[in-house]
Amino acid sequence: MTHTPSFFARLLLRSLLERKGRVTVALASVTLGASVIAAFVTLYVDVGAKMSRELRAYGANFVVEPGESRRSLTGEAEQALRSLLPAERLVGIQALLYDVVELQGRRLVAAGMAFDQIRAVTPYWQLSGNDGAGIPATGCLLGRDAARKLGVEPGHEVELVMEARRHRCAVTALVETGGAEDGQVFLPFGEASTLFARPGEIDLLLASIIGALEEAEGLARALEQRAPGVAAHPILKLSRSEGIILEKVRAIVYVAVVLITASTFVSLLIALLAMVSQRRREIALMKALGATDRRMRFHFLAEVAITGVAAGILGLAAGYGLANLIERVLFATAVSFRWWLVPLVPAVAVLISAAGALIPLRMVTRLHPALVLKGDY
Amino acid sequence: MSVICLENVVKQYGEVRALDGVNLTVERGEWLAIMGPSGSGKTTLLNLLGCLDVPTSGNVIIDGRKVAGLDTDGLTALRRETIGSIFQQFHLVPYLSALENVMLAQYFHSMADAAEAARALEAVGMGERLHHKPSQLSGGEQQRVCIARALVNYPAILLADEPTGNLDRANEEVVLELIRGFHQRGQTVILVTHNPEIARCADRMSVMSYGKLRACADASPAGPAATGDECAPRP
Ligand SMILES: Nc1ncnc2c1ncn2[C@@H]1O[C@H](COP(=O)(O)OP(=O)(O)OP(=O)(O)O)[C@@H](O)[C@H]1O
Ligand SMILES: [Mg+2]
Repeated sequence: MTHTPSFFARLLLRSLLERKGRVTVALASVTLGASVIAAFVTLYVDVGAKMSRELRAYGANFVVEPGESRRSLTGEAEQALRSLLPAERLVGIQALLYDVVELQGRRLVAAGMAFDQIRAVTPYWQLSGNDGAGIPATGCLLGRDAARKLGVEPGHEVELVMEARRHRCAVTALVETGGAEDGQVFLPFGEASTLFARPGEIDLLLASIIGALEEAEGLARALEQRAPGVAAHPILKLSRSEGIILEKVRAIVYVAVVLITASTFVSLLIALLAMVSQRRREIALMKALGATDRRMRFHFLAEVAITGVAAGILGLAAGYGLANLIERVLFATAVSFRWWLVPLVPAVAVLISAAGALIPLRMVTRLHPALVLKGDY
Repeated sequence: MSVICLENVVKQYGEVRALDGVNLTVERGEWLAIMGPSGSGKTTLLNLLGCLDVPTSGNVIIDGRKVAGLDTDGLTALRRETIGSIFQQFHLVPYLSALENVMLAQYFHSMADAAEAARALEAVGMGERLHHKPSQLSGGEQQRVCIARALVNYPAILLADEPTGNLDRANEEVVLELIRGFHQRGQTVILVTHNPEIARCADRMSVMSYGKLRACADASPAGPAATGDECAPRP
């Protein structure tokens, strides 16, 4: 069997152009399917990380406290936590040191903390009075209620007193959380250690981590082993519901991909069946002219493959756009383009096309040239 | 050597016995006309001769090869190598030009050759219509394209099923002339027709009736050496 590439190509082209309408319908249905699949697969991959990050906006989900026999933690616990978790799964970690100080003769709780971790670990904190300049690295932050009682405004200098020690700082912003923080004062961790005279101590570690609940629990056990004398636990309620939401989103994506694949398959099948029965005469004629069944299948598959590849490429582009749109609406971020989708989506489109072509292909094979040529079909 | 040999061939379609014990021998270079009423089994017979179908029982031997033992691909190959067909309804591919329709036969036979296909179309007087689609051709022109397509691969046997059934007198003459030319080059022709005058152009005539084929004694004025000149003109 000699294939003449140029005539073969000519035949394919003529045949596809002849059926522009049907080819467009088949192309559109596979493109549609491929684009939605591309979008959902992109989301499926992206959504885990994105969801987790978004949910982090509700605050820390992992707490490390001193064990029963200990008064406080040390930097060792923080080091251990960092070493147990890959950097990309640790959104932020906040070491806190609490004590009671006097400010203008009133007693209030002061907390030492890393100001640069506020965004990551307690993103719900609202800061005001610093002209939206972000969180300053120095100075101190004063709870809104405390500021009102003391008549302090941003920019004022205050003096924190503990026993004989004093710490002067400028109030750079006011804190509003709706919780106990509104009556507290916050200063950089190192300065708090000095003021409280508790060098190297940490009262509480709050961390924001990415991962399912089971992983977080595993991490807690591992941390307790690595740094004896600490008690670590995920903040359960949040982690669990987060895990459930993730599971649900994944399940929806999975079901949607299966349904879309199936519906694409069905609509393509219908289009191809219609096409084959419309072409019975032509197929019979080609067989009568000496085309073997294998060759007819080859021709038919080539047409389907061309349509499939074209649909795959279009679908990839459309799917990426769709994924971007969905993510922008859901998460206000863009998706990262995944290069492995470039061969994958057209391959899936071709596979769907080939699967959709199976039954019509059997029709092509079974078509008896004598029957069709004879009658008035 | 006979190029076609049928022995007691039966073709059964469910209840219908379309061919009922047909015996037929056709010598190389012979022109056989087959007549008979509608439904008598003429097309069924041509399909067997054209290796488009296999008999229910009996022997079909085409060009020395037994059809019975062949699978679909074997039948296709035998058909490709030996048979050229023309039909009453032309059966051209609508979206291909005249030239491409002829090239299609070359392509499935061995390889497409535009120059040779064009020569085949010139030989049937269609040299000026190479790039016309079937819809842009008259019936007679379409049938000439079919003849070019049937002959382009130099088949040993030409099968024609009412090739002039859809044509007027003038085109009928043209088509007959082309078939005659093919025959005069020593090739075998089997022609099915309802028209006795066309049948008389053949070397001999058989009549199909209720699935049985019998040689026609009365209607064959021309002997085996008959040429077109001896065809009776129409009144
Ligand atoms: N595929 C088929 N299935 C069932 N019956 C068939 C089939 N093909 C042909 N027949 C029957 O076989 C008989 C012979 O049919 P055939 O087409 O050979 O007739 P014909 O002589 O060519 O008629 P016409 O002159 O009208 O073309 C008819 O009775 C027809 O109904
Ligand atoms: Mg017939």
